[in-house]
Amino acid sequence: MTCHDARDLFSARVDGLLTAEQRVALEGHLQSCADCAREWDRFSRTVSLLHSVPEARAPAGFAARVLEAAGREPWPRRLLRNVFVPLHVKLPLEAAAIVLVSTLVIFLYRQTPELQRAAEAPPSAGIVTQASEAPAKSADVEQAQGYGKTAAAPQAAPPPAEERQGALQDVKERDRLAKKQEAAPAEPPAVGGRLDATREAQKSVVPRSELKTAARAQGPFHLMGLLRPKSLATLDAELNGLVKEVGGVLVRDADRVGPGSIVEVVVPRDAYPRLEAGLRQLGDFTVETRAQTFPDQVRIGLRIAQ
Amino acid sequence: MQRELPPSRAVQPSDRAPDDPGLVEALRRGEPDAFERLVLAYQHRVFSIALRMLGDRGDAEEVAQEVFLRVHRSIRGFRGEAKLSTWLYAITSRLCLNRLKAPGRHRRAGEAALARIANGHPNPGAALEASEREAALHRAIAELDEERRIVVVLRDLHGLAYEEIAAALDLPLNTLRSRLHRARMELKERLERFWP
Repeated sequence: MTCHDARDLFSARVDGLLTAEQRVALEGHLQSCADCAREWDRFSRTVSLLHSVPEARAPAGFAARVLEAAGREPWPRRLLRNVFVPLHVKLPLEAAAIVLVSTLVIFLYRQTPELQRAAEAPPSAGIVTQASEAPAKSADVEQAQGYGKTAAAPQAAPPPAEERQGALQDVKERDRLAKKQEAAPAEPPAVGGRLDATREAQKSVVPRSELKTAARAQGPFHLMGLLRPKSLATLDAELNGLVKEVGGVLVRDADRVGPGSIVEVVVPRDAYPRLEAGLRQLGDFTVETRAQTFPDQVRIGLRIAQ
Repeated sequence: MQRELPPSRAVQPSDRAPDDPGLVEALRRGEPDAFERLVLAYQHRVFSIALRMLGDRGDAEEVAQEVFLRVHRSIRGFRGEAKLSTWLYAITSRLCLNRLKAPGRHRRAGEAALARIANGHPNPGAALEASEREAALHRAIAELDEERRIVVVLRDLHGLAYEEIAAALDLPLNTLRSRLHRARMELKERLERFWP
């Protein structure tokens, strides 16, 4: 083996890649050649020094900067990726969430009569609008009537002023009743539909204004009952008399009470037992649904059967 | 008396960044934390290779970041024929060599020399404290031809196996061996004054 051949094997020796034959030949040469032995010593020291160099460390925050740079993609694509990827996981979850929320909304809608009424009933803003329009109307009347009659002008206004007063009073009354109903414990669920409240009871006893307002409030029936009268011919008059006697208000959905019609009766809570007793005298009266507790003004839906 | 060397760094598995096969699959599936795992696992190795090749921390960070961004963009096209680490080192080596060949590179030679002497340490004071031999070593590495420098950096500074280096640099094994041997011999000659 020549010195050139021996030195060509230095790297293979460092890396442990020599064959047995090469190893024997190289070691024999290094034993006999001082120059090559010295070169080997220097070579191995150099490689050892290289191996001793520590790995440099990336600067602080490097990984965060890379991740941030990698995340800089157009926002629509990023949004889509965040919403849908991985598709097999997120899509079923999102579908389930939509179904769950929809079910919850339908359930709440069905269980909450206030929501149903809000969706069906015309807003009470009409009254407020009337009230707010009153001053303008009043001013118009004043203007029309007041030319050259400066002294009489204030007296020409009373009708609109009364109208306004009445409307405001109506609003206040409804607010007061609503507050009362809110304050009443365990407001009963709706047990029936609503009736047209424009037809008021003919005549009734005190407290008339509150009862009328309660009838107009179109809240849920606190009791729903079925009445099979002994006599249909006299029912209208008898029922009217009974309601009047117990101090309630009768609201009817037809000109005359007859089979298939529904009447609404509003009575003070204390008067209900007397009403029920009276109804049982009028015919076969059955309570179909009933709230656990009654508020001050009890709204009763009465179905008339043959 | 002949000097015996410890086993090569290339055969010490604990010295290597993990090449988790599950990581490649997770990256392909686009799992959000997979890329983060990759960066955390390889950031020092990739940065270190770039620093030893370029000699400038700023350049090294730019290249290292570009390496990861390229992986992020093209991981879905990674066929898995080579190891993930080999692919990373191939991208790193190619980007470093391209940058070294870029026009205007020589203007930063003074800055690069400082970084080499500093052994990658951000504090110049620490560089002054480093031994003259270590400084000479880094200077000698920096003065190697780029083709030789990359094999020394991958093999002797970072302990990669011959096969992995050959795959990363797309070199025949014999070419790699002879190139590495010539690089080591050149370094030995540059450092001769330090040896008895």
